Amino acid sequence: MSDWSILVAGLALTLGALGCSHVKPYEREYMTRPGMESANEEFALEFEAHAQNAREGAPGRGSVAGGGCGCN
Amino acid sequence: MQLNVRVSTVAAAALAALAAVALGLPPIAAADESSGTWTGNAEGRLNYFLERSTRVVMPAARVDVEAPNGIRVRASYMMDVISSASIAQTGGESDAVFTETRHGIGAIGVGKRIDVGGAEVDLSIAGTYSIEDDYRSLLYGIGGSVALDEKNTTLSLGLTRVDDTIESNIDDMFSERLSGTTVGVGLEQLLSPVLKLNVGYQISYLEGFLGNPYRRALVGARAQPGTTQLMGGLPRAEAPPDERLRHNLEGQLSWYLPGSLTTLQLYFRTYLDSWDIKAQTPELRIYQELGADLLLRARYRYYTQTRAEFAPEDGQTAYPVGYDGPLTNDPKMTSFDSHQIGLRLAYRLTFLTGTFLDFARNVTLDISGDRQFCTSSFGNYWIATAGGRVPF
Repeated sequence: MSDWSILVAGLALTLGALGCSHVKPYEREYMTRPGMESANEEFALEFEAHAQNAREGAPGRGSVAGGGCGCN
Repeated sequence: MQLNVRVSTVAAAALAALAAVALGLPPIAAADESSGTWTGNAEGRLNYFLERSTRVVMPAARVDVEAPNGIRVRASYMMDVISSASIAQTGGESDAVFTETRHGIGAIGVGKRIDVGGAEVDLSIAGTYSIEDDYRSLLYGIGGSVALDEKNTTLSLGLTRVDDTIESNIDDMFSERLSGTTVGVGLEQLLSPVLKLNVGYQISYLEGFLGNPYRRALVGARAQPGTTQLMGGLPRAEAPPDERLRHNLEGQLSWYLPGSLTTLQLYFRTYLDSWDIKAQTPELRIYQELGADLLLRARYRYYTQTRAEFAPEDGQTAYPVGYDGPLTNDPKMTSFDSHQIGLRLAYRLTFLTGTFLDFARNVTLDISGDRQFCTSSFGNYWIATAGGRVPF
């Protein structure tokens, strides 16, 4: 499967997920459980992302920018 | 080993500005009955990284404050202390030990949520300035998101710009620039009361000096009789292409299991760029609640990538006689894979409720450690972080 095929499949899956459900506000109690909301780990994982950017050809999660630290 | 930590005039001025911002805020983020409540978080961390020839210690701090009118301000500071150097960093045949320090000052100046026709729109700007002896970087960007369908769907868009100046401690005449622009789009979709999908795509264009001024590539190597292994060659400065286009597509499913208080995160990322590097990253995280205040998180991450088209052939560390293309001696330009496992513990101090330390009852302390096994010449590494988060 080519890389572009993976990209297209991913976009198709994404578009397919849109509008497939409606979760009412009172049904969202579990959305704040650990793991469902990653904001609490964000700062803790920044250093790991920095290490990965310095050692891997592809950047870390959620980022594809380069530069910023002289890690090339 | 003596650590040589220097704070430049610019960093000192930036720290003073940061302090002014912090001091300029209301001294206590206390409830304001007339206009709402100031809320926020303060977080401090100590990060540690250890590989075969490099050790990094990075203390960091961050403060988030949200005003009653919904405006958010974030300020952060980190100090990256590299107390040894890897072979890959210096390009030599053995470790050359040195110490360098990088300071990063970041602030998301403005963030605010506003209601527009029933949809909630969030806008923010951000910037980070990093400095070290031979490198200066300015990273800045804007971002926005819109929540639709009673926040079942959230679309986000971000634009980031980086402008770096690269110098060399061994060549006073060396001074190059690196600049880049990144555009990212994201989607968060609730699929059920216990299932959430996140998808993101980023495209980035970089131009300028995309190598390392200290690394040397060996050129003009010859195969030894009876083997295909290239040996010898003369060292030449790295010279990668001066442009790079990167694509990144990632997705994550988060699934909560109420019966066992467990959350599963399945993550997958695929990457490709104009240097012909292709990478995939599947990752599994399991969050297990152990009571009301204790959380355990385990994770496994796999990473695999192909080599850059101009990197030496797999199994080789030098370029052959007659090679006249871009040059690199960067281990992250080679083909390799890695396995990473890790654990994290987080504990909230609710047991302090009703004691003389009651004010700290919502503080969360955490510690995590990861071990990565990697087939690149960087080798394996340990990474750990410990910190505390104080909501107010």
